[in-house]
Amino acid sequence: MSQVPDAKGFPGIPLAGWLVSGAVVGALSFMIVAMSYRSSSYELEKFGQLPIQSGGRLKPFDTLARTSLQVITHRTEFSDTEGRTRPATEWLLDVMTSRLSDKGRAENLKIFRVENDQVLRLLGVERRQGLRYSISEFRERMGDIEKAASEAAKVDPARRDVYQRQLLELTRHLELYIQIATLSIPETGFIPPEPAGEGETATDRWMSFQEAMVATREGRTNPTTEAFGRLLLAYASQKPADFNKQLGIYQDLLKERIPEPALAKVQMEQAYNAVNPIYLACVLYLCVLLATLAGWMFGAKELITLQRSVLAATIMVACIHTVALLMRMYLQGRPPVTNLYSSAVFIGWGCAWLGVVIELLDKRGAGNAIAAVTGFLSLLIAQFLGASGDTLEMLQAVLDTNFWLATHVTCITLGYTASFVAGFLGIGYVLWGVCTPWMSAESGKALIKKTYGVVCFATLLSFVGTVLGGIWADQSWGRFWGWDPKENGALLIVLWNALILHARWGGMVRDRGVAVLAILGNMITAWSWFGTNQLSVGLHAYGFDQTLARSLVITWIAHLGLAGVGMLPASCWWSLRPKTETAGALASAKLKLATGRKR
Amino acid sequence: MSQTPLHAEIERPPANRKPAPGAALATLKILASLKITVVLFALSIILVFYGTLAQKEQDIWDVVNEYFWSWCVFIPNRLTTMFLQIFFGMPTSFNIPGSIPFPGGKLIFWAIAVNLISAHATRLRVSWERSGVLLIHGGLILMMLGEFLTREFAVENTMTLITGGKSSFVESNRHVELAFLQPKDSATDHVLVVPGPMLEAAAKSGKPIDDPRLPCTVTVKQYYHNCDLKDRLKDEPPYTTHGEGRDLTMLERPRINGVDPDQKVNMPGALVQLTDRDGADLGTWLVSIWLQQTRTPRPQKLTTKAGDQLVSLRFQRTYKPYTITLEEFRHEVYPGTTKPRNFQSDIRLEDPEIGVDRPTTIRMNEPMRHRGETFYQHQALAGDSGSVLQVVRNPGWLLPYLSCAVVSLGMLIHFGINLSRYLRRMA
Repeated sequence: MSQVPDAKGFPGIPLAGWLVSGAVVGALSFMIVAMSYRSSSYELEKFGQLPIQSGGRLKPFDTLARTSLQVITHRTEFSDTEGRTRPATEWLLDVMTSRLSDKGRAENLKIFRVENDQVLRLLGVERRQGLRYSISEFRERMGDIEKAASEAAKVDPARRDVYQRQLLELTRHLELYIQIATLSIPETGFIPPEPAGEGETATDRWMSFQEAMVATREGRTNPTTEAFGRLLLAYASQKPADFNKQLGIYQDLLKERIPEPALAKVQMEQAYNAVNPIYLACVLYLCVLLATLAGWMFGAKELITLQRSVLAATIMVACIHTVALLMRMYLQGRPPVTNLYSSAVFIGWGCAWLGVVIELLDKRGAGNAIAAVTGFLSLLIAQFLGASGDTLEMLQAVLDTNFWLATHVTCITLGYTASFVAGFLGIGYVLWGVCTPWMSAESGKALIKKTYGVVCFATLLSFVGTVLGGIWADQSWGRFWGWDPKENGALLIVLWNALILHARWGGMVRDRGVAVLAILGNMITAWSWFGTNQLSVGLHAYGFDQTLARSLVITWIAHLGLAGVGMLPASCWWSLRPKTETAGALASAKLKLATGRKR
Repeated sequence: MSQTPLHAEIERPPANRKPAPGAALATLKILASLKITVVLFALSIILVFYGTLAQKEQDIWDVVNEYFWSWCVFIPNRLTTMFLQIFFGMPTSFNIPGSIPFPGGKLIFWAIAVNLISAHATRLRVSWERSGVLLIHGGLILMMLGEFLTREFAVENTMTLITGGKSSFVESNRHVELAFLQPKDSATDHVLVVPGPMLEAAAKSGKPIDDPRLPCTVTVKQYYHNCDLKDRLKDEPPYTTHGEGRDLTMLERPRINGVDPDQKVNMPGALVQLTDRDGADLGTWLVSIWLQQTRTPRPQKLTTKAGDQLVSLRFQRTYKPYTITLEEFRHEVYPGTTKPRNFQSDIRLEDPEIGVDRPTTIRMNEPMRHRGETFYQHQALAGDSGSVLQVVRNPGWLLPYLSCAVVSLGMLIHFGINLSRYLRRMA
């Protein structure tokens, strides 16, 4: 195993490495966060921090704005009529006040994303770049749209074609828009309950705007309703100074009605949205990957120092990822995994730190690459999964148990994590060996040893996680094992990992075999993570996610291809060919690399 | 090739071991092969995969019986094409008829057991370094034993309680019975039941069920595992000559399958012809679980020579020595939403035989244990008018807990030894 004799400080990362990486990561983070900042004469951030009660929890207007805009236009920002990029809160205010002013600002915003040509024809608009259209462009066709949509809704969900699906999606978006414009979003309260007077029972349910208006009309005046109304009026009449003043008044009223910690949490959520550490980490992982790849281009002498510095960056990005995870846990008051979105964030987190551990042991960049690739991919998946709504949603009654969420769910998710890391190590081994001449027998073996270790880890975690799931099931409905699809999915992972271990112990597979089996393991893990869900809802095609199913299929085919490459005879592996065959320049490169490593 | 010390021996030349005396040991050694282990793992992976796919079409219980508790299963090719259709967009018109025989769960389980035991008999000697593996394998055997006990002896029933009401019996929701109930006095009823499988067999054979203990002979004209009742249209002839069936019609429904997110149970129904002991025709009757599972059950009144009877098709009942009263049922939601946050039954448990009379609470993830049975919060009745408890007796319930601990400990020891060796070599 190679040693780094001159490396000092924390596991061999030179101080210069820390400084350079710190400066680069810091500068990039600052740039990414600053790029999303938009100035305005209205105090939009402050407005974004105001709480509402939605989906059973307090959340900031900022979250409502971002999730709604994400659903409608697939972005969390929008372009105004002059083409400037503006924040989601501004759009939300535009829509919420659209009925108070006759300027029609919200109607002219091109936010409705329509991709299908037939739907475009129905709307009577031309196909244009960006594919986003405003209500005012197709207002006259509203009747036709409604009629066509009700026809499409009659078709069995499983048999709807692309046109019908997209048309119905558009109507759902229009519905959401109208709900926001009329301040009648389901399960959403805008006005907090007044402190309970004598003889009244305290409630924790907020009033919807309609209820508040009715109460006002009946003479039960409520200072918060009035202040909120004045706030919207100030925005509708485009008076920034008045808006900012009303905002202050409304905030003071809220402070008297909502406990400080709850308010602080809502503010923190707005800050979390604004910084968006998940997106940040996602981009930075990509940068780490590029740096790792660049590191491999250099000779062996510099390799270790370079990869050590990249490791410093990996650790920093993983720390950003950790902060994001901790903030989500704090905001939700739950263990890390509560839904599919958070499972992706957590798997990415586990993969990244496992990559860091591997890099600490290996020092040649394999760990950095694993951390970067898996971190980037899982957060990309998370971005995709989070696009459908609130990712900090409340949990169904049976999931309302922090103990089992913390033990079973965390454990099984870490099992998925380890299986994925093993799979990616396998992919790394195959690509390194087949496509480059640089994998020496010793370094290849070292990589497979790591893969083997990770598979052991995966077996342990997925087994314990699966059994804990059984015990939870026994606790909540008295059946330890029910052979249901999700349980079976977890069992498959345990069995597959056990198969890899026994095949290796029995000498049936060696290094290349372990790599290929680990790659195939990714297919099984992907099936358990997403496939089983698809199967159960596939029954009712409306819950069936076409994109998800397609991505799953692409993942499977890609892994089958990689496993196929891994099974090529040794003569096809560039690194395994006898040295004499390797041509001039590359041979010397390899030689240089090999001598460098022997130091 | 690096090996863990446990299995390193396999790679060593046979000369290192004592010569194997006799053919028995030789056979044992073949049976102990790790190649067999790997093949068995691969087979079980395929079985579990198809056992999952099959749940798209079949009831989970049927799948468990056919795939996991059988010696051999015929996997229909339809499942493969269905999988390809769902994920790979293959046209639904494409189909391969027929099926492929495949070893069932029982066969694979016993093969693994034989393989495992032979391995321990021939290869794996007891030592500190191998203690982890011994624990893992011992724990797994314990876990399978637990699953066997559960399978053979566990009983799952439900108890339905209306707020303020009490109950001293539990019902199965998989087995039904045709009940003839004769009120004896104010406190007791005289009940005679015909089990569901008997009705099903009678429907198939067409032979009447004639038992001297029954008040009448029962001929089953139709028997549906899952049915729906709908109101009779004006111009339709009555479905039966007597009882509720004059205003209702019974329609057969497909049996529920394992992946149905609504988790419904089958609602059987039957059309029966009753004949009095002296041969007098008592007419045709419609009986169905639907008539029982409403807020006001509707048993139908039948007059026979042996006296008046109430006829009903009901879920199989078991009477218990204790009584449970539902004092309050709580269904809490997250504020401003309809998303449930908690279901909770505040009950009173009375068991005079052993002098128990206490109030207690059963809620999600917090069951109650009594007399070897465990009571779980299962469902809410329509309109939160009451609660359904799941009542489970499982003599093997402790084994999974125990085996999980043993296997986890084994893995920690085994992988821990490996890891520490690896790290030592690194240093």
